Amino acid sequence: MSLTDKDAQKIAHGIAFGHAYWKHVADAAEYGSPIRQSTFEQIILETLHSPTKSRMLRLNRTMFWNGREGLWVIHNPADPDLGTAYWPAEGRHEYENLR
Amino acid sequence: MNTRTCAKPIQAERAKSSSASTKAALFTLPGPQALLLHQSLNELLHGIRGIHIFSQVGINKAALEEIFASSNLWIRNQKTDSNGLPSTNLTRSFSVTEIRALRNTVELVMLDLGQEEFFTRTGFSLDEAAALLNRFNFALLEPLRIDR
Repeated sequence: MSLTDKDAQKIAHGIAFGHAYWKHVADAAEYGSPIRQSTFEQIILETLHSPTKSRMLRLNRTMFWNGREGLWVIHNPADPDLGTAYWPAEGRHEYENLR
Repeated sequence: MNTRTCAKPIQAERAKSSSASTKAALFTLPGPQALLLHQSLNELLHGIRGIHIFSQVGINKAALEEIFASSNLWIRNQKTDSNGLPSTNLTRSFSVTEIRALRNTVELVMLDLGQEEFFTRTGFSLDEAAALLNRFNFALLEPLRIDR
């Protein structure tokens, strides 16, 4: 699954400056240490450009796995934030089983 | 060997009620609800952080993983429609304890993912999840109707 630079930047910005930052970075501290939204955006962009794995899900959603960061990015064009990004409890298992 | 039987009706009732949680009954879910249950189990076991399965779900992790493995096998073997939904029903036997655990699983995932990302992560709406929750609640109360 490859995205154009422009699409990847738009998605990364939408997710990093949407609910995902507050839910997964600020409140749940899933990254471990506090990071700025611009840093979150860079990590998401890196994931979209060079995912460890990626695949299509139902209803035009796409998941991108960043094995180095242990981060999931799910692009959902129907979401006002264009998707979400989070550090799952067991990322590899979630990748294998999500539909 | 203990061959003692419950001599009094009240003792027999107590014995009946204590075995209710382990007694299994066939339960059928339409294909889309079976997939939603699978997605919820996957989120609870692998996605969401900080869940204490035994105290919050009411079953131990190994037992929940067993249900997930069976659901996963079923999902993988189903033909899907144009929306990627299984077109057949899932029918399998669940104990009351398992149905309660599945109910709790769906509720915990709904509350944790919330309006903002339930659809993005599961591919289903919160309304569809609420309908599944109602199915489990109805099934859990079914024995009361039978006993009366």
